[in-house]
Amino acid sequence: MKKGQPNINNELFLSLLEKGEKCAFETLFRLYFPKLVQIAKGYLVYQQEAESIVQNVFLKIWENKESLGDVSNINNYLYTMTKNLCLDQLRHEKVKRNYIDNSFRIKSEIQYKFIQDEAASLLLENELESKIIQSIELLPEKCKNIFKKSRLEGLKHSEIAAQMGVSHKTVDNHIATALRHMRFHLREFISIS
Amino acid sequence: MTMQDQKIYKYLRGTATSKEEKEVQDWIVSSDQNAKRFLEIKAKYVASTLDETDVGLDASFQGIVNAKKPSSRNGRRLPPAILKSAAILAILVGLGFIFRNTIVDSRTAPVIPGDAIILQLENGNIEVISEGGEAKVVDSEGNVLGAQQGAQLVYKNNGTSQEEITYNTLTVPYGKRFDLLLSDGTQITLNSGTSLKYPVQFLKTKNRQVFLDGEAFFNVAKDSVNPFIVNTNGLNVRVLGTKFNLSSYPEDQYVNTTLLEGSVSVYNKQDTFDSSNASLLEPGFKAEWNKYNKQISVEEADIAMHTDWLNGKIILRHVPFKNIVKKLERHYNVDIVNNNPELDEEMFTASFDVESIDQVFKTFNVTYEMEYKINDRQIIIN
Repeated sequence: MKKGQPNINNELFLSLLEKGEKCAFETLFRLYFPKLVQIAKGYLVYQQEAESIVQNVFLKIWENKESLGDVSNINNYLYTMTKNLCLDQLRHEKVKRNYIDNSFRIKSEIQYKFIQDEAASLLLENELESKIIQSIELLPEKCKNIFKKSRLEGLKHSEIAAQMGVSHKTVDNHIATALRHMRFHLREFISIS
Repeated sequence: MTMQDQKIYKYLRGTATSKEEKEVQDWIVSSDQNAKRFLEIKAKYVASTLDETDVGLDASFQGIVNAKKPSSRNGRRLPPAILKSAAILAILVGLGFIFRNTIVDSRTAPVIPGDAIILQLENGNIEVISEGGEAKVVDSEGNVLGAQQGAQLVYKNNGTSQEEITYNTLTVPYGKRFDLLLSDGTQITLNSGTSLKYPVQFLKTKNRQVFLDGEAFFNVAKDSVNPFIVNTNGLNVRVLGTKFNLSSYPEDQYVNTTLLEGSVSVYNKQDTFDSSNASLLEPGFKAEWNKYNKQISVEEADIAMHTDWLNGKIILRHVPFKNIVKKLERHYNVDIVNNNPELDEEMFTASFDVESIDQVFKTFNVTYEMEYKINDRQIIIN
């Protein structure tokens, strides 16, 4: 990862999740959910399943939050989990639909090849990471630092103010700007508050 | 892009016919090389959709939060199917709210042709205005408030000093335009797909206030004592007497106020008017209000581009296709379905007046080859 980019493998972020911080979990969800759904749609035969698969990914994250400390790259972790759940689903479909018509069988086989293709997998995983970074990068510089400290590192507004040598009010304003900006640039942030 | 690639994209988007679908599948399984090529295109295609967010994010999040609660008590969680139904239900409830708020008082809207110009009176009664016809606007006591003269609705100043304000709402459908002369002498032209709520008579001691949803050109009668205020989508436009165009369709991100003569002030609806918190416009400039971040930016405007709709023209200068779609839908009263995401970002410069929608698409096709089909009022682009 290039220098200066927000670090989404952030240990603090994971340790917050471990502690069960709802805010960290919600940020993670809002950043990743829509994108993972798009990826899951690409893997499955029935697109309607994509959303419930990704919901399950986040449920598992929450349920296993105590063991997240071992995760080194959250992007990689989320992607792999989505992929594995989709793979399970496809296998299940395969057994269930084995006897069904030829065209459906061909379709499943093509989907199966896609999910197992390493080049495609790598491309999607990298693209996912860079999209997430872009989302955060869209913020103005100062705003971004404060936002990251608040939302990704989970610092209190007063702690950030002390760290950066600015007033509490300035931090409040930057967070407000960041959220406005997020709402504007990222539709998926529409209801963070 | 080769023909084969185009078919693959259609297959991936799910817009291929069953015949095309079979062609693509046969092509994929016919050789390892083809399969590899397909997987590569598919990976890029999926990557390009990552920014699409057609999921109900809040409903899904709530679904997880709700599922989390029981799980922390008894270690079991709801099956995905229930989660899914909960999410769908939440979305439906949400949609219900949106519909309730957007459809203007549906109780009083019986079966009315979708392409009719509609006048809604204070008491909720609805009258259909036929173009070129002559009708009288009468209040509940039988007093004549105004009259239709061809493509214009004229309200007379009845001179009596009223104490209570009563409103009429005029709604112009896609594909039509209509003129309105208010009782204070203000002339307004409503563009396609626009609705304006206005007082039948203005009170002598109050601001003149109207409510706009859509696009209209205002020629406001001078009255230096009672400012004329247009309320629209979180923005107020305040004038004393002037000519300006105001475009504020609910589906657009920006509200554009373009000034031709005089001066106008533009300010956030939540603020009370004060020269310090308003942006003052000079003729030849436009104020662009971003509905989402509530910022106003002022810049020099291409007047013709903003007002040529008055002459039935559409002028496009370097406009991405996605922004053109809505304009065409309103102007021609058609429904456009674009299944080609690449086309959305394609820029076009063109000007249309007497052309039919058919000719418009032929013109686009010269600069960007697209596969489209016109079925009566619906146009599908693949």
